[in-house]
Amino acid sequence: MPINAERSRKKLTSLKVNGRVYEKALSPISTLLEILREDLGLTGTKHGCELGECGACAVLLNDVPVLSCLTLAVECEGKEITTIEGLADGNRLHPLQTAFAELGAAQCGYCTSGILCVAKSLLDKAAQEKKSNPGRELSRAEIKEALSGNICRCTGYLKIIEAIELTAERLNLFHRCEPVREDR
Amino acid sequence: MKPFRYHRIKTLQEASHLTQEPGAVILAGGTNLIDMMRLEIMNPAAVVDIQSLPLNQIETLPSGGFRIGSLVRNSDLAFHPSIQKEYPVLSQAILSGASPQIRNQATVGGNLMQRTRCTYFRDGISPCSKRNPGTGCSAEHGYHRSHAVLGISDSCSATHPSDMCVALAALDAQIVLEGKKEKRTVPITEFYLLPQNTPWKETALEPAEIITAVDLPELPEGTRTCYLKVRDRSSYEFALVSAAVVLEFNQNQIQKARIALGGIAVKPWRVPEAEKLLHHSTPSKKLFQTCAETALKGAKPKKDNEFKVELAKRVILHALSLASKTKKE
Amino acid sequence: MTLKVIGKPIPKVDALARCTGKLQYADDLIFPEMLFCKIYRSPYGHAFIKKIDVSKAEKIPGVLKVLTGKDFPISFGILPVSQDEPPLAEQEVRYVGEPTAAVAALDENTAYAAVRAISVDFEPVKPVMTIEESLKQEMIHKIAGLEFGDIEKGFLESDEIFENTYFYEGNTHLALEEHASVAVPEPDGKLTLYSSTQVPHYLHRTLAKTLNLPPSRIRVIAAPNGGGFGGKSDVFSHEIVVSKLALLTGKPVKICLTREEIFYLHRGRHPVLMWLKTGVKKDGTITSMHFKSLLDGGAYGSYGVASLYYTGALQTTTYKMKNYKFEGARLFTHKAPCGPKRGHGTPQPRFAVEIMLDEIAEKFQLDPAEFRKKQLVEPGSVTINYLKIGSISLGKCIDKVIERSGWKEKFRKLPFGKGLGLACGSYLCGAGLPIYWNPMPHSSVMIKLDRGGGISVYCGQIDIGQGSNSMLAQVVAEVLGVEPSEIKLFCADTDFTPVDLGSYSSRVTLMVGNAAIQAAQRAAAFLKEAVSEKWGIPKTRIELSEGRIWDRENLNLTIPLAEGIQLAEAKFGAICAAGSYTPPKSPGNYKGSGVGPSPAYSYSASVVQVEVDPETGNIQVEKVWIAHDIGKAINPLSVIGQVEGSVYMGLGEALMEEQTFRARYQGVHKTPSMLDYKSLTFKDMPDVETHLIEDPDPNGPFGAKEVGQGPLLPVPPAVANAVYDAVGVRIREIPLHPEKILFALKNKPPKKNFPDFHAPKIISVPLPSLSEERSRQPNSSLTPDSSASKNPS
Repeated sequence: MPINAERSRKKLTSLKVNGRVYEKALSPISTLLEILREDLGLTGTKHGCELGECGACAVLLNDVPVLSCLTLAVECEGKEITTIEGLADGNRLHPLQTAFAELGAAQCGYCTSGILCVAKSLLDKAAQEKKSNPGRELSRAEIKEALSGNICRCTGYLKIIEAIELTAERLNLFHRCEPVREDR
Repeated sequence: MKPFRYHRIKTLQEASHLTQEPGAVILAGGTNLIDMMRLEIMNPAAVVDIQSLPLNQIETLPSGGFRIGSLVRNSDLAFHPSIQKEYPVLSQAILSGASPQIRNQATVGGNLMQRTRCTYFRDGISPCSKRNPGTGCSAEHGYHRSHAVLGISDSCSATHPSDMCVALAALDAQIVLEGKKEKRTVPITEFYLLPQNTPWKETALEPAEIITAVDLPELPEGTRTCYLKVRDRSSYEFALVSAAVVLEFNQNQIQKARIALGGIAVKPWRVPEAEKLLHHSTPSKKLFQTCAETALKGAKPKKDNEFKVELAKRVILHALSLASKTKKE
Repeated sequence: MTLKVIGKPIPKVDALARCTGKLQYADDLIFPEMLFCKIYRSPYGHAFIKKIDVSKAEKIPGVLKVLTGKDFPISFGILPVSQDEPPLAEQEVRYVGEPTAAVAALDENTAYAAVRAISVDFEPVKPVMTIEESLKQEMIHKIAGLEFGDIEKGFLESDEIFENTYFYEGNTHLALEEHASVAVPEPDGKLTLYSSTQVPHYLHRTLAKTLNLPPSRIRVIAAPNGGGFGGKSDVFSHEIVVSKLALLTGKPVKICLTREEIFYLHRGRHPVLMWLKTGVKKDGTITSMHFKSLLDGGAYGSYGVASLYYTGALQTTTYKMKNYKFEGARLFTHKAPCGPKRGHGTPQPRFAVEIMLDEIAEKFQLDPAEFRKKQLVEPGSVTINYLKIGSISLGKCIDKVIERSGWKEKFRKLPFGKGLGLACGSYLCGAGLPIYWNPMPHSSVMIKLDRGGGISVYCGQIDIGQGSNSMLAQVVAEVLGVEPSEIKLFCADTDFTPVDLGSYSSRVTLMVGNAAIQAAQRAAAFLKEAVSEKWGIPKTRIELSEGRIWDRENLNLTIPLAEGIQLAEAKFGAICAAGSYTPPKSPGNYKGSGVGPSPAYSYSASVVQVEVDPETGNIQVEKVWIAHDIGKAINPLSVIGQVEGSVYMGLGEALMEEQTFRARYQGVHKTPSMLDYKSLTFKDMPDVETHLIEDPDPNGPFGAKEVGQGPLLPVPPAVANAVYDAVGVRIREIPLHPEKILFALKNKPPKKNFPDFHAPKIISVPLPSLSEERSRQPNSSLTPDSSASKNPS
């Protein structure tokens, strides 16, 4: 199989994941998802379809949420990759992680990594925009829109939305216009 | 995924040269290439990664209108202030498709080259002339709820899945192609080919050619637009039926109208005869109804997608009413 | 005694592991020298295998082993009566996707290539794809016929008879985690299997059987499930196959299924065609009910016999039923096998009954809520089919959703296009009988106390995302007077943990909870004995709380828990205690009475408000109000999460989810991907207002009942009833696709025909004696204070 051997020849590539540089010999056919999980041991990024249909494998590429199952690892050279493992700052959890735990926004936890990455980017962007526009606030509609590509089968989404709102509130990016729900 | 050679290229010439190779494909956002490769529906010998080309600009054209580089990401295009202001129909269409993560990755060129979601095409085993020329069409007597009723042939009734392209069709966009000796532009309606007996030939793109940009003609003052999409769920979902409407108004008179349909046709579908009815007319529900009827005249529905004909008429009617009420700022 | 931990909405004990990506699911496990397995699956719905040629596959470099049906002479199945599945098909394939050969290779791509190199000579046969065709060809798996009372007499007593046909389309679990298993051969020749399974104990038994090994040589560890919903409560071919491959190659072997494979693995909701006839008096009193169900079971038995009986069992637990007859059959077809999904066999009949009640109320101009409330089953009663009801607060549930939704002002009064619908439901808190009949406990918990103060809890239960780890920790923490975070859990490992039957039939809270109370009380008894001796006071004065041991009458007398453990260890030796739970015996004793009994029943009522666009047929669910009779919420945060998740899944089933196959093309799945199989996204989910109604059940731990499945039940019929209120079309089938609404608005609602079906044999069951009614126990037999726990001596 000389053709296949030639085609799948690995190339030494450096990937920057969560601030750390990894030198890896990558086959062009490996997706970023596969490299993260299998070569770098970062199994916090999950997969529910590997065809770009569920959002479980979302990571940040230069701070923008993308699907790691639809990205070849070789494409990512020179870019900053952030995964769920990179959300906490050392021992300090990201406020989203705390809020998700507090409000029960993770049931089985399988979609959680992707959702947290997307939510982080949403909050970071809103915080950035707030610098030039002090009145900037997140809305529930924006949260739903940002996460509309992430499927969760356990929670019915509501607790996830609430946990993001709670985090945004704590970061001064959200004001609850309705009183806390009657059933809470 | 089967093995392939990977080329990250820096110039258009390189790209053009490499894509002449049989079995070479272009990688931009990858959102509709990697999945097809994982399913082994597409098994390219070489993948030419063009993401380093400087094709990610949105510029004004000297003649008015805009030129959008083919590597502009879908999100960037949809949220571009000029696009939101001048072509709201395009922003609406893009944001109604796929998911935010996919829109962050997908490019304009890639969206134009999107393959169908026909399940027979994607399952890798059913007879399908688009996938395996000459094997026939499984949807013909199969399950065809998501299939087209316009532009179909015996060998294929797969829908074109894009939302963006429906808006581009209504905007009379021009596709800029480079790589051969002559740089050329093709109107979007001619860029896509009807399936006829050759459903595997989907576009006018020739070997060595690369989509480098999409040109949007300037819209006259007072143009009103609307993109309306009906689907099974509120996001991450293809259209059952969608309509992009561009109405050029003068006072309260429609001067010119362009209507494009999605979800029910083999390509972004313009309806010139229906549009003609609206030229130099005063908007009225009755007129819009006649227009909708005319638009669907050629429809060839089957059992599972019959409902989409009536649905499409209603969507056109709604879209026209909404557009004629929306004043461009 | 005031509860310190039970009833508090605290974060789950493993919440941070789940929010940091640190929790390891089966596919996250990586072992040195690991091989990868791929399975060759049948491309035909029905075919005979003439020849399998694996020689090409075996020659591919990197392929270590290829297995076919002849390597697996022993078939399996989850129920002892349905041992009909071969691990790999040898002579015949019965559905597209049926495992036929398997490969172990050095990497996944090589394994794929090897699977492609396998050539099978099939002789295809036209597959049977429908209930009607299966019935015609007599491909009957199981028939049930039961009559309680005399339905004909009941119909004669009625003023009006209602009769209709209903259809509930099949749908699948779509848990986000793709099934994965890793089999690891141990140096001593034993085998360890890690798997995403809800039933490690049944998997353990099945592996022993199919691999022909003593169970003691096999260790099964259930990895945390990335969602289950019943989809991981069967034993699967791939679990057996990787185990065998690991034993034969001497290397760890992993398999992770693709999403498409999981659509074929299925074991989800049965498509059920139903016929319902109800006799009613003018005041709404039900005098008689006759229910028939035909289940499209797919290719194999799975839980099918239970699924069939469940379609007939729980109609009686909500409304008083004087005469009731159930006839049903589960039929084989050449499709992916159906099994248990959230609500197992009960959402379908509930859909039919709750819509028919809406029709009855309309006919007699009764308020659907009042009409239901007038005939609710009494607490402590025994139903006509011998189900022993404990607590029931369905009336309060109805009142709550009626009040909160503004029902009285809105029902039948909203403008065209908007509508409100009400429905109720009921579910078990654990099946009264195990899957294989035996007299042993259904659940056991062990506790070990460390002299440093550590509390280790061992239990076979597996957390599938529903929060059972936290439930277990909270229960033990309550009894031993510590914080739940102090508890170390060791779960779902057949070598280390005592048996729990699994995370299915909503059994874990009630059964594991009760076993945990007993274990913790026994552990506490050691401490109380030792400390009371030391202090010279009676044991009854000793209290465990806040991580300390106290003299209740002299709060100055106190020591840390660790010190108490040391005293006990000095006196008794190592402090270990075990507790177990076996459900009470059911009063029913007829053939078929094994399905339906449960220690307790949960109840829910829901009002759904919809807006239907008559132009597009699109249904927008605007809001859902739901009240759930939980008995006692051990952790309200988790409980509300389960209710919201159930509502979400119920809405999905009502509006869009469907697992259907192409009849013309050999039974290929119509939508085997997460985009084509539609489920609700963030933007589709309406606001849900949840109310928990607490009415402790005598059999529940601290009075608790289930919540994982029951709240799904009222949702689909409530949506259908709301659509009727909105646009006046009565659609008796789901999912409610827009084209169905459009068609019904233009023509008539779609109507399915029910085939001419009668159970050949009807078992006539005598009425339960009245003496068994009203024997409700005082409500605290298993709460720590009053329970007569056996003290160690």
